Amino acid sequence: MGKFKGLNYRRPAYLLMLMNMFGFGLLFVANSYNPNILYVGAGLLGLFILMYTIIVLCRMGDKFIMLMACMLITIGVLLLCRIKIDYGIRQIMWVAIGGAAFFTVYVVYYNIRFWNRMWFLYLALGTGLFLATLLFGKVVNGSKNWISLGGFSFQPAEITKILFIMFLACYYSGSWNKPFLRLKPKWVTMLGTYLFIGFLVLQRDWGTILVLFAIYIFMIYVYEKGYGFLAGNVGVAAIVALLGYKFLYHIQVRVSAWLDPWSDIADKGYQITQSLFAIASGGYFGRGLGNGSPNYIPEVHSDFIFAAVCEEMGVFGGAAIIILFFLIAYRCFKISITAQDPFDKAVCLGLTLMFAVQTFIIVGGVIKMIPLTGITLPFVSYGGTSIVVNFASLGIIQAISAKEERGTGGAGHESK
Amino acid sequence: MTFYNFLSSILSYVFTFIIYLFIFGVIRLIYLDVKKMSRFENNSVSGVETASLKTLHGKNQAETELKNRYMIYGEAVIGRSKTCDIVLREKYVSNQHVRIWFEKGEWYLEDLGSRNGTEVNGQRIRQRVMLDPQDEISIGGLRFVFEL
Repeated sequence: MGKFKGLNYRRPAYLLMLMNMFGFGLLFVANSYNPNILYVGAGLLGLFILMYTIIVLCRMGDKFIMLMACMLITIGVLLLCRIKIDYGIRQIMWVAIGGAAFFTVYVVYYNIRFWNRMWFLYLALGTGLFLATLLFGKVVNGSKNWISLGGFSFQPAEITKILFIMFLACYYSGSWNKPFLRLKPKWVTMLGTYLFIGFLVLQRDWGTILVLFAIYIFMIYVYEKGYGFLAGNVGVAAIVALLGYKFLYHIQVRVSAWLDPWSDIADKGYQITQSLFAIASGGYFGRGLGNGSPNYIPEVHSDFIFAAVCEEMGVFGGAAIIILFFLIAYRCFKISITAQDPFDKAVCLGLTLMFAVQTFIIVGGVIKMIPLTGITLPFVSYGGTSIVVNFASLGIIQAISAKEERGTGGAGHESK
Repeated sequence: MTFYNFLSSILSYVFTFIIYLFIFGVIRLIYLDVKKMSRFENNSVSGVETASLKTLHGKNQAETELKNRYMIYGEAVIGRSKTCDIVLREKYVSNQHVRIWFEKGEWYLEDLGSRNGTEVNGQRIRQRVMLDPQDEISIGGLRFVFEL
């Protein structure tokens, strides 16, 4: 990277800082000169400069993923501060913790070499987290997916996503081929997948089910030779989904609100119609930060933040978010393709799929393209666990790209 | 319409402009990065030519765990001794078994007087040979594929 002229190379980072200053300056004026806004803005700017400098100076591999993630976070925190200042302040604390998680995970993943042998641990930890959720969880918005420990609550399902990806990667990287209880690893991974999905059905967490199942299907599509296994899985899932639609009230409500939200606009279709009104009122360039009325949409700070972005920054702003996710996915796929170690390849692929699928599901849900299921938009939505886990995944991807950039460095996984 | 609303509407265009300029900048840098990568397609790392030996796991009966791929930076001596660049702690590998090096645009292989010999594409090596990509190399019965 050294041959680029300094300005060219740093220009996107400067633009990000400019965006941050303009945005928080405007909000400062909008909120009758509340100094908290400026503290949030300055904190975000400081965190970004610190993280980006460490990545560049320590030659930690890919520089663009973090840059784009920071842009998404800046847009997200701007909108959150505009919706309610408290959300912005809490989000910036989570971003700080997430940044710490990013570097911790980076160091740990880079230096430990036996990740590919611990499939049993991933399965056991995932199952343990689900059981803990079922026993000690509390119900929020119809889904029992929160655990609170001494005033600090988190969503275990977010953590299970990473465990699930590493579990799949153990088999698909080819480092786990011994049968377990006379079952071939292929069937064990399949059973593990459906075990996780079964727990999520008990928790009524439809969004995460879709994410996990999509990751599994794409992994099969990439790694399995024939299409028979893929077709079988999709077929069974389709039948189960139809049965679920027939018998489960939750799913019926969601599908009917998707097909025709206008018939029950006061109740079941309220959220989605408000979201559509917000997107429509934004137009191409948006109504301007602070001019819209995003607070009419329920859950606007977490699931429906995309609608708020569209209202205040316009269709172009929304499209920019989608483009940024495209670019992140492109970079991660590239890292996955060029990675030397098969386990790294599989993990990187899985994490990329996680970001991509999650973005597709929630953006599609908000613009009424597919039925709505509540999950967070990575890096943009408000949510402690989501932010920390997304940063941790970025840390893993960063470690993989750093291994590659520094030559193999002997840090590949032991083959077995 | 207050002054603030006016300011905010104007700035919404500025924001869109900044975000797209940012995206354009990132795409440009990624493009330059990819272009730079393809210019050094031969995997040269900081001026040194590199090649690698990919282990054929299926055909080997190794006593120790072999890595999937061994990198060669310019030159490598392969053998059982700890002083070798690539250490293979196997029964049929001699202390200093074989040397692979890069010279004047070509890769060469030379047996260092090993007991159990070296084969390239099934042929026992007597003197130095020139290596081509995808040559199969057998070092004391362990099979590798030479890749650039």
